[in-house]
Amino acid sequence: MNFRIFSLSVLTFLAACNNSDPQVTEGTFEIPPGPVIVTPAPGPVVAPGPVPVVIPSVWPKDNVIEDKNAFDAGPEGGIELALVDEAPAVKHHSTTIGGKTVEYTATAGHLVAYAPNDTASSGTEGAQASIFYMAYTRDDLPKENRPVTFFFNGGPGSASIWLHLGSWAPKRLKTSEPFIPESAYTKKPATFPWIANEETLLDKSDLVFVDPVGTGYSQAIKPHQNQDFWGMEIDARVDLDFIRRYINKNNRQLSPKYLYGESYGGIRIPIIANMLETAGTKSYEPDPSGKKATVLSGVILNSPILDYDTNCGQGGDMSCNGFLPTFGMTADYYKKGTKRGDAPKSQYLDTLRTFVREKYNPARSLWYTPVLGQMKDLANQTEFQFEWLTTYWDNAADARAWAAVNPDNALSYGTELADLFVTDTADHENFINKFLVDPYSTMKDFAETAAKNVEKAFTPGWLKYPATPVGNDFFQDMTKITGLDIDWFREFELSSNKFHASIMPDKNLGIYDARLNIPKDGGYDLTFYEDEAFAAGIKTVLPDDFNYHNASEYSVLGDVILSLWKYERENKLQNSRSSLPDLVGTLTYDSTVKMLALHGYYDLVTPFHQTELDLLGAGLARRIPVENFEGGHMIYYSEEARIPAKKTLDAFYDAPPYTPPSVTIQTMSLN
Amino acid sequence: MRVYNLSFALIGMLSAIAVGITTSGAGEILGFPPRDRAGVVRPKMNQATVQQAVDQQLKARFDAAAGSNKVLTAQQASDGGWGFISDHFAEIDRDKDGFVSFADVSRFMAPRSPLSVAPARPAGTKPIQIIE
Repeated sequence: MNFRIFSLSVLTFLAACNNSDPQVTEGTFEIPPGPVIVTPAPGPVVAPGPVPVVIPSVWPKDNVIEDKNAFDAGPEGGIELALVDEAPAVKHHSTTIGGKTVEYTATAGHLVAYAPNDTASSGTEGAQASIFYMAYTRDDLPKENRPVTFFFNGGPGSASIWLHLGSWAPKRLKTSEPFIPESAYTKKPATFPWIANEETLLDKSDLVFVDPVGTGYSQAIKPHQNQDFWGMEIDARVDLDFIRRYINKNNRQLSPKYLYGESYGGIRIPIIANMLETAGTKSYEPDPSGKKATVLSGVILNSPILDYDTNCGQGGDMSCNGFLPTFGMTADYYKKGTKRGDAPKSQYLDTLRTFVREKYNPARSLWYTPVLGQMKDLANQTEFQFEWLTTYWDNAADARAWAAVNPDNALSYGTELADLFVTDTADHENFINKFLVDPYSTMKDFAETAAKNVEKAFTPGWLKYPATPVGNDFFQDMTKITGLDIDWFREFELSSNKFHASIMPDKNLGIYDARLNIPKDGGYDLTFYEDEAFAAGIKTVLPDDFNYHNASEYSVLGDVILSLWKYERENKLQNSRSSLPDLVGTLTYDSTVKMLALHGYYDLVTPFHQTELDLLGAGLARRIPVENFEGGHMIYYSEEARIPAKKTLDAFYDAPPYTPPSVTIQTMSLN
Repeated sequence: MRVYNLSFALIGMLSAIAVGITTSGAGEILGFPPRDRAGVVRPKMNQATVQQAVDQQLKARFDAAAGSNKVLTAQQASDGGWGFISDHFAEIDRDKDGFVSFADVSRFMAPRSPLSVAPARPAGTKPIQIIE
C-alpha cells in the first residue's frame, strides 16, 4: 500500500509579539494651522530603485476648492448629479520619511460611483453616489508598479477618519495611547498633536481614504437616497463602484491594488474583494497601453470581525473562548493575572491559546446545553441592562418618580426592554406594566431571576465538575489567567462586558484598548476617548492639508446608519453573518492575492484569538496570517505597536504575489 | 424606538435616547446584526459550510449569467459582470466550442479553492440549499 506523506513548509503566522521597551517616536514637529501656502511645483526628482531614473515632474497644480454643496447625512439624503463637481482639491507637500525628503500630493474631493447596471437608470450605467475621498499620492513614481491602497473604516456607519488621521497617512494625530494625561481624567482631550508620521505607508503605496455613503461628505445621488446604500451587499457594491471610478479616472489600472479595512471592514473588504475578482479585469476600463489590468493584489484586515456568530461580545449563545486570551493579556497588563509568571509574552500567548484548546473548550462541552446557553445569554444581557439603568437612577424611589412624570418615555424604555427579553405575550405586557410603575425594581428582579435560572439549567456533569481534580484545577487557572477571584462554577463563560467591568473596579477602562484607564471617580466613558480630538482634527486637516473647504459638518459617524443597516446578502445566497466565504471566494478566483490580519492584544471588541479561531475553523489559518501587536482595536493609536506593525506591513507590501508553500511529496511503501 | 441587537455597550447607549440623555458616541463602533427569529439555525462556519457557500454563489452567478440557456459564452459572461469567466474563457472552454457549461466552470474552479475540502463536483444536478 502506498501512502503519501506531505511535508509542508508553511509560513510562521501567529503572534509576533514584542517585549521590547516602547519605541516612541518623539521629537517630531507639529504643523501649526495657518494660511494656505501654495508650494511651487518642484523640478525633476529621482525615483528610488537600483537604477536611478529621472522622471519629469508630474505634480498636479494646487487647487483650492470651496465646496458649496450642502451635505445631508440623513437616511433620505442625496444630491443632484448636476451639482457634483469631480474636480478635486489639491495640495503639494514635502516631508521627510526615514531621513529622506519625499514629495507627495494630497487630493480630496468627490467622485461619482457609477453602477454598471442601475435599475434606477433603466439598467444602464447609473450614478449611485458622490463619494468623498482623501488621497496621498507619489505622483513622481511610475504608476505601473506603484501600489494604491483603499482604506475603509467600519461601523457600519463610520467615516474613514480613524484610519486616515490615526494610522499610516503622511501625518497623524498622536494619541500617545495607552498613556492618558491627568488633564484627560475628567474630560476627553479636545486636540491631539498633528505630527509627521515616521511610520507612514506612503513609502510603500499611495493611500486613498474612502468615506462610505452617509459618512464624511459622501452622499447618494438622486433619485437614490443614502439609506439605499446601508446594507452589507449594496455598500460593498457602491464602494467598489467608487474604486472603479478612481482607478479609471487616475489611470491606475496597472497599479498593484490593496484593500485595507478595519473592524466592520472585516465584512466589507472581503465582499468588495470577492466582487472585484468576480468582475476580473472587466472591473476597470482597459488600460490605454493595452496591458492587462491588475485586479487585486492584497487585502489587509485590521481588527476585523469575520463572523458575527462567533463573537460573544454581542451576547448570544456562543462560546467566549476567543476572548479568553484577551482577558489574560489584559489581566497581565494590570498585574492581576498570575499565570504568566516570568514567561516571555510570546510564550504566554501560546499558553493561553493552548489553555483554550485543551482546558476551556472541554470545560464548555461539559457545561453547555442549548437551554443553558440561552439562559446565560439572557442573564448577561439583563444584568448589563440593569447596570445601565442604574446609571440613570441608583435607587427605586428615584426611578418611580421619573416614571410617574415621564410615562411616555417609561413606556418606550419598558417596551424596548420587554422586546429584548420577553417573548411570551402575557409576560411581555406584565413586564411593561410593572416597569411603568417601578422601573428599577422590575429590571433588578428580572435580572436576578435570570441569573437564578442559569443555575437551574446546569448539567449534572457541570454540577459535579468543581469536586473533580480537573474541575478544581480549571477554576484555579481561570482565576490565575483572568485575575478575577470569582465563583467560576457560576460565572463560567464570563462575558467581555463583565470582565471589562470587573478587572479594575476603581477605573474606567477602554473597551477598544483595555489598557486605557482613568479613575472611575469623576471619569467618563473611555470607549470613544479620541473622538472629539479627531472630529476637531479633520476640520483643520481638510482645509490646511488638502485645500478643501466645506461649511457642512463632516459626518464622523452615523448612529442612524448603524440602526438602519441591512445585514443581508444578494438573493440570500451568502451567509449574512460571516465574510469567510467571501475570503475563500476571492482566493478561489485569484490564488495570488496576499492577505493579512492585524490585531491588538487588548481589544475587547474583536479579540485577536477569535480571528485566529475563525480562520482556523474555515481552513484559512495557513493562508491568512494573523499578526498581533501591543495595542487595541485601533492598533495604530498605540505608540508601542506602530513600529512593529509598520515592519509587518512593509514585509506584506514587499512580498511577491502569494504562492502556495512548497509541497514535498514523498512516496513510502508500507506492507 | 426599535430594539437594537447590537453590542452590549451599544444597546445601552441607544437605550439612553429613550430617557432623553444625549448619546456621546462616535468612534469606531462595531454594530451587530439583529437576532434571528426563534428557530432559525444558521450553519456554523467550517471548511465544509464555507466551501458550500462559495459553491452556491458560483452556481447562482452562473444561472444568472446564462439565463435559460444553461451555457455561457465569453460575451455573456462579460455582459453579466462575470469578467473572471471571460478572462479565463479559453482555459475553461476545453472543447473550444465557444460555450461553457456549469460543469466546465465547476471543473475549472474546484482545484483553485484554498480549502482542502472538496468543492461541489460537476454540478448542475445538486439542488441549491438556501443558507438562510
